[in-house]
Amino acid sequence: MDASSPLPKTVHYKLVLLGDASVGKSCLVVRFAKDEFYEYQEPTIGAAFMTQSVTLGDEIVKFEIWDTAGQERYRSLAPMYYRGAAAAVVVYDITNKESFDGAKSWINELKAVLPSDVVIALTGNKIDLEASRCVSTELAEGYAEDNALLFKETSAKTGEGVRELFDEIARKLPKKSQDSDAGGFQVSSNQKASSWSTGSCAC
Amino acid sequence: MTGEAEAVGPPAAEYDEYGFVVPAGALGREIVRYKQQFQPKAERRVTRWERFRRADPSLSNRRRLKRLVRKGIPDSFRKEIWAHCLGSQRLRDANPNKFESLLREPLSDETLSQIELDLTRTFPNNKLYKYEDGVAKLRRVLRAFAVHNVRVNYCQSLNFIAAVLLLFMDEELAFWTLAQVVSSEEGAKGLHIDGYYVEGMDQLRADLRALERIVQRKFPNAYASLRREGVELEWVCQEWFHTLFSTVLPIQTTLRVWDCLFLEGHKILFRVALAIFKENELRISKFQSLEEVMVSMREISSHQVDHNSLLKAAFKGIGRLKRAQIRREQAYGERMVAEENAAAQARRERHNQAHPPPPAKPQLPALDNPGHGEAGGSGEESPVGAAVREAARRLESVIDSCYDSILGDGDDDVDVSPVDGEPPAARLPGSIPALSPDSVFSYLGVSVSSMLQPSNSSDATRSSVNVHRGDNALATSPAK
Repeated sequence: MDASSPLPKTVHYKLVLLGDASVGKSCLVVRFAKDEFYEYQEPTIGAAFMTQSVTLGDEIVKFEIWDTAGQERYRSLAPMYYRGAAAAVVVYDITNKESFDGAKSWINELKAVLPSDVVIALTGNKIDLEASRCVSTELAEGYAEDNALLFKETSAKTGEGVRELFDEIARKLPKKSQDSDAGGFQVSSNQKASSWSTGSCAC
Repeated sequence: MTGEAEAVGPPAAEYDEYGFVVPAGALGREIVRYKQQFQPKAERRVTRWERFRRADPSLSNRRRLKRLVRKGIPDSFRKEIWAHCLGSQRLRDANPNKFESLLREPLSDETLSQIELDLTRTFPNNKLYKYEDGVAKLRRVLRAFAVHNVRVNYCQSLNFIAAVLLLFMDEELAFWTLAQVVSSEEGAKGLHIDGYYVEGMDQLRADLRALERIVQRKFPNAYASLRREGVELEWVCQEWFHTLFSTVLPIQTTLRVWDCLFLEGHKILFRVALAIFKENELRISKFQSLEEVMVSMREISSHQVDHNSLLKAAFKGIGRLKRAQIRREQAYGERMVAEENAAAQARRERHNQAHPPPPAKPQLPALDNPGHGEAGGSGEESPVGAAVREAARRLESVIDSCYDSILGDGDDDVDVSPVDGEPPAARLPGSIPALSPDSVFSYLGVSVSSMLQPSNSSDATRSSVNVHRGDNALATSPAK
């Protein structure tokens, strides 16, 4: 796993998944990271961690993925996980209109809190259930454009669009050299000092 | 039971005695091996419990009960002993029709649909929840609880706790037991953790801060290893507390933990979390990447097969852990969380000013409404009322703790042997030598003035913080 060969350089990025309960966040990650799918994926309590890499030219982009709990109640824990993220995937369920509103609310929150160079991808999941679609592609795409977000529709169940979603995010991430910390994971050492006390940071 | 509905499916899995699929591979083999190894002990335990129940039918000898509980309750006694420890049997007897009547009350669509979403994904690896029968039981317990505890309503995590209870109890008793675990009216019973499950989850966050400080003190190398890799302790431990370990430890180990938790209360969460660090200290100290920390900590918890050794570590290995110390660290955690909430609120306001309100306002009830904070929900309580209630609860716990100490049966293991030549004074929770009102209040960390002067702020969060201002041991704020 560890890219021990000297050739490709591995860059680590923190990525967080957010969205309403049961829109398929965990399933998306499991599909991406393990290429598996479980019909009855247990609800995520707090957050689950996984990694997966994408090769991009001579670079390996390694995502350190935080998959968060979807229930509204857990919202107060989300900052604990999205802090310092380089990318956020905000997921809704195309068969559930409310989950799209939920996604918008997440995007508002992220825009308020995270630096502007964080890549945010709006993702409509469950396109295998096309017959029950409630959120049209045009509507979501339009919203994504207005807010300068990546946009993708996926099915964690069939795998459609999942790989592409993460590839696109990888391409859009700000290039960073070893010493740059533009939203990349290496910031974690700076974070250590401040993360307990976000309260007192100036921003 | 209802076999035919889902006869198709994966090939016959191997189930353990609680209906869980035995994990594949080495972990499964380890569980089976340990069970065999533990068998003679388990049998002796049953005999001992039978003798105890015959000799003391009303379980009046608390000290003996505690000693036996720490060694593990046999499956055949669990239902009865849990219900006794938590007082749920008594509540059920006293309120014969309550459960049914709660089920007739309406619930919001949001709650109903959230519960529905979670039912089929609660322990899908357990036989009971593969069939509608078990799912229906879980549904009713969670619905009744949501009506009963208005403040908590339904929160993910409770589904797992209820599901484990239902492996041992009928629905009605499981409901009362869940209710008592989360929020008992009696100070000495249950865990009093409603704050883990309400909007904001302030109590959970504060407890995680408290745990962090204790881990840092007791296992500095392990702690430093996590920090070196940029890992926050709460990332690792939040789920431990939230589901009372039921989703992270092997079921056999979870049950041993719950035995003690239900009798001795909240501090057991801390003891067990610390024991996991203790048992794996060396390995944790050598982690070399964030990924390794996160993946290995998950693996470490799911591999705590040797429950006896974990429990031993919890009561002996980690050394002294007084309630008073946990209280102090909790108060520190509460202050941190309150500051963080205030900062988040300020940031949000600044953002809203800079960016005039978007067409649809984000639904953030707790954060958009500073007046409610963690105490939001039904039945507003005045800050003074909250302070008094909190003080009463603490006093009860102090008395309990003194009682334990006098009996020589306190926070330390039942085999009361002096540890590390610690001075005898340190054996008592500080307040015994001088039980003047002042010292009691100061021990409790309650500022009397904050109780007497109605706070001019309506901010419930802030007032709950005032409660702790009196504790000067907490005055040192962390270096920024």
